[in-house]
Amino acid sequence: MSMHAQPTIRAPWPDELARAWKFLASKELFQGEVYPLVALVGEPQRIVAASALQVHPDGEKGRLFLRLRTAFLDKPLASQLLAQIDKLAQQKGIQSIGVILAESDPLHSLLLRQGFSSQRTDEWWCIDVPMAKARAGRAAELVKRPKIAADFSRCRLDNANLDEALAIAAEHGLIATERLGNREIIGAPSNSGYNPDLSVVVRYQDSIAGVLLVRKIDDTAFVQARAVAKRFTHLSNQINAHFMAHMNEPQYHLLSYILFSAQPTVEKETIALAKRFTGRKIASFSQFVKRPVLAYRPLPGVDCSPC
Amino acid sequence: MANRKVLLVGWDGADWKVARPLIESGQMPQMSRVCQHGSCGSLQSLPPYLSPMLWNSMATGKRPHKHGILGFSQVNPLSGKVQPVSSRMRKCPALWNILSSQQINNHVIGWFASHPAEKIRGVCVSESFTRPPQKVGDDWRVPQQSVCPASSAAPLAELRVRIEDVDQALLGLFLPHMDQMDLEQDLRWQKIIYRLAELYTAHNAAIQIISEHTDWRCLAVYYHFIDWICHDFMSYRPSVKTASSEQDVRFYGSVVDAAYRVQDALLADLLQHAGSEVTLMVVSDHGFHSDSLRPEKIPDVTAGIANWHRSHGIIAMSGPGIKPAGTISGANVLDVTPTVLHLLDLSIGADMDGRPLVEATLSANPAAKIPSWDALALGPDATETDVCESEDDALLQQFIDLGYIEMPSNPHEDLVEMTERETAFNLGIDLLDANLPAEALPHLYLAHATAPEAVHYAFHFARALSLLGLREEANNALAVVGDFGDDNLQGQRLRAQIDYLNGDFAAAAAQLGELNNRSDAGSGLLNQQGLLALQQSDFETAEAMFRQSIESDADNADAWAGLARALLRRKQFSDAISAARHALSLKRDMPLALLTIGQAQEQLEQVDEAAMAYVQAFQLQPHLANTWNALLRLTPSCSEPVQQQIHQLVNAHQTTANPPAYPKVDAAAILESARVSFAQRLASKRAAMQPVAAYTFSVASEPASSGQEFLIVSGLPRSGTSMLMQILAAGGIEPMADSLRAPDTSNPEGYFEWEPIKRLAENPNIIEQAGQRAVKVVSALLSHLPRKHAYKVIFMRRNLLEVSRSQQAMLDRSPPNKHQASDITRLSEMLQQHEQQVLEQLRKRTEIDLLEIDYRQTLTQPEQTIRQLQSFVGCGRLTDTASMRTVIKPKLYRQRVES
Repeated sequence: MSMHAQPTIRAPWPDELARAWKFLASKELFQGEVYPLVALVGEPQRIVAASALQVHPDGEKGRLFLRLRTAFLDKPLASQLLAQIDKLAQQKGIQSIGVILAESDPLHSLLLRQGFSSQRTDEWWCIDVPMAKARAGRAAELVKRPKIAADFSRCRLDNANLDEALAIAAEHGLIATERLGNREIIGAPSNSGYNPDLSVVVRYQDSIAGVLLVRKIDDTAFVQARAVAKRFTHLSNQINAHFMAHMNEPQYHLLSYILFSAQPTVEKETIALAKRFTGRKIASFSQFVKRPVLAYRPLPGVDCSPC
Repeated sequence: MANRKVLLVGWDGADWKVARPLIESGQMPQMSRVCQHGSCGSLQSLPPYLSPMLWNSMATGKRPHKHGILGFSQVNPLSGKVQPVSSRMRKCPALWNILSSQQINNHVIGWFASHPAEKIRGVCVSESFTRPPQKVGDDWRVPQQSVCPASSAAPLAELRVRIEDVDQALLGLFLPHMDQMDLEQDLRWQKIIYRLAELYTAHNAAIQIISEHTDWRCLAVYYHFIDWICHDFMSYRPSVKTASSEQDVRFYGSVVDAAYRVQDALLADLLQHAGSEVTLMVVSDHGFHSDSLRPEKIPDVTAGIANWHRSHGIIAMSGPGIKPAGTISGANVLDVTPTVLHLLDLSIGADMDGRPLVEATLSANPAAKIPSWDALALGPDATETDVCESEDDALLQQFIDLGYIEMPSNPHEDLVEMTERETAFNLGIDLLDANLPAEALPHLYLAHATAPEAVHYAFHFARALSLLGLREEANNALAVVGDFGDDNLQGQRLRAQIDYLNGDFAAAAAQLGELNNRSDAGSGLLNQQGLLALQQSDFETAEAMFRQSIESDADNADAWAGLARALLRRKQFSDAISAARHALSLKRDMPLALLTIGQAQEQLEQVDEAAMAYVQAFQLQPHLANTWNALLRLTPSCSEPVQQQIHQLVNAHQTTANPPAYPKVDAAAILESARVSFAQRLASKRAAMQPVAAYTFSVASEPASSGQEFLIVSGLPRSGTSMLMQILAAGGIEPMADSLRAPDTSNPEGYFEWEPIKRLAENPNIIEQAGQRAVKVVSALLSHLPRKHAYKVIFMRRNLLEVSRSQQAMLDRSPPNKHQASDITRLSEMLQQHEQQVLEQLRKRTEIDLLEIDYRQTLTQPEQTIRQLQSFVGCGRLTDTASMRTVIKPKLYRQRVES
């Protein structure tokens, strides 16, 4: 009887896939093409590390999902697995690999040792919808005042305003420029697209002045980008009031949470908005990259489970 | 006694810790009367504390490995499908079968896993009957086979309570601050309404049966209410460990207590209708943590929410034949049926694991025994197949919603495999608890091997190995806990337990040493530390540890037994006896506690009492040398009657020299056999597979953008889809089919099925393998077709009465007229509903082009159908019209309905 003392790193068998996904604790994350690997020890063979390299539609970038049991973080198995991932990426023509890790994830040092560099940090600010209702209600009253009501208006995100709205977010580096012109990112029921009812576009006179791009993930409104057009930054307060007023709409009442995601260094106003809503910081994520730069937002249900 | 009536009332999840204060404060007046005028005590449950297993142990007097109900769902061996556990899965007669075999009129209402209702000498109402529809105004049909005899269904159906019937004032009892709540936003009240509707439906059925059928001698009624409510609302009940917000505690903190009060009022109602001459027995299958022992976190394992369940439920008995103001001690869920049988003057099956609670009765007669009731009483017929899948699915969904059943949460997870694994685990746990580690080993190995990352599987497998002396294997099995690193309290505890079982006390001490003085040490850890201190002859520390453990959980039998042991060693003999007796009152099968009593009484020179304690210890565990030697030593000093008992024991074992040897078990061989069998199964499964180097996940939100189009043939099973496939094949479109399902009398021309498409729900991308071929997809799976592709769906429609008859005929190969007309009509109605839903969905999907073909028209006017098909798929693809015509054979038109 073989005891499999040496770890095995390989692609999983079909009957092991469910275990691999469960081990990665990322059941809702995968879309498109994914290359899984598992590291196994013992008899019966148990998974002690798993990875999934997800390929971006451009075929050049990959997002890596990685999880190792604590006891193997400093073992050769960890570097062997990352070496295999590197090899796999090369074979597939993937130029860069990005990994998102929670602040407390012990994988940080391993990735740094393996040539990854820390790219950016995102924070999550969570608001309980019932707690936010009063403030949203006050904002709704505020924006009805003649001075604001005369010049500002709100509308849902739709195909007519999508390009301009995305351009504003891209102006601040909040979404990748390659997403511009992609009409399929709107109206999707899953976390792959912006929800047209939860998202909002704020107009000032005839121009789009601000945009809130929101995904619906289970009972959470995930604010993926809050952006004010650069030429209207002096109107931020009024635009923010409209964002808040929008959250007083009935579609928000059916939710439990509003989750703001923001980079603390560049999205100070977004964090201020979350704080105004009595938001509390619940997590912080670091993004590590190897070779060229990738920009992903950590997603609820996907990136919140450290090893 | 000849006419004694027994009313057996089941309250799932009821616990004295909640009930006692309510009784003492006058909020449960009926239970107060029962306790005053009758006997009551705790009812020991059986791990893994899962209700279906426990209620069937109650109803049979047997452990789950004997009665065969091993969880919330099981794989039906006949169909290979996962189904909620049903009466047909039970392998031995239940109380109601035994009573019926003795011509005793009895009724049973709502018992767990009692669907389909069984034919008994009375009315049997299954738990499916009591489940109301989720939405106001929804249709609520009486589920098929939920009442037996079926003639009783109509009057009971009239008394059912829908959610909209639940009185607002009654809800106010649960939510005293309802006027301050936002009932439009916060919908938790709906759960209470739903459970109340279910509760009153079961209760009204019981009252109706009591009123209409007065000549019964036993009536068993089961209420799930308290357990449901506790799962939903216990976390809001004020306690030192309440984690809920202040507002939630204010609004929902009294829901659990209200549930007990309502249940008490219904008990009074039952008794009023049943009459004063009835002997009452109220039981619960497990308790429910309400205090500091509430689970902080529900583990991410199947049925993890059972962590709320406590090891002791309740038993309360009153009425004729029951001792007044008595205390029931050491009772077990297995004792319920033997006690009812004894109360009704019937014999106990010697193969039952429970005993009659004679100490609670006034009967002077010992309980009579027969070898078994299995051959005498007709149990459920396991060869029948459950017919109503939609009802099964509804129940299955309910268990999934509640968290008792895990649903495959990601691609590739196999519900059948998951269910088999969990069934094997539950069976293994029961066998371990029954002190049968060798029998448990293969089952625990199967669970461990199919999910080796699961710590709880690994731990119990390691326990079995340790108990069988396979120490190294036990250590290897538990290697998984090391994966989580050194700073892992749970892992260290588990490791220490295995070290202790292995007899490696130094290693156990090393593991536990690091955990000393932790503020979060629970009673389990304290017990371990106590046991280790006993081993190291540090009796003072041992006593302190066990006392601390009891402080944390006063009902922890192991802590009391450990304390008794420590007190014995500290020569506090009377206290040791008292602690050991308390342990036995909580859990009666503790040979070590009996041995402690014997040794302490010997020290106090109470020779007869000591010998009797040894006798009892010996009966539980005949292989303990200490007990045997003590018995032989004491015999000459004992009184005559005690000596006789000891001699009887000695004669039974035909030896005086040594205690009976442990049965020889080649545990290593059992393990190897389990390994080989699993490895073979795995190898055979993987023989036709390749490792998955890349996997493509479909994007649910993608529009039909792939540019690919697939041709689908669909319809209800037996609607003529195989013929349609044959027509397409004859016309020139290659069918996507394998030959796994051979032609038979139902489909003499073949089925044209492709086995892998049955996994469309788990792997929607499988459709891509069809390419340009036509593939048959059963109607229920159409919703899983990924939206990124376009489809041409040809949907065969046939008279649904014909479909129903054809399905029934195919299922049992019996003439259609064997089935009652109502069954066929009912099935046909359900099919109609399903077909309408499917077609509505198909018509809404923009990426689907739908053609509906009429079966009868195809057989009577084939040319018209052929033209429709050619036009739909394009004439260029169906060129051979003549061949298409020849495969349409009107003579195969069976089950025709002339209308």
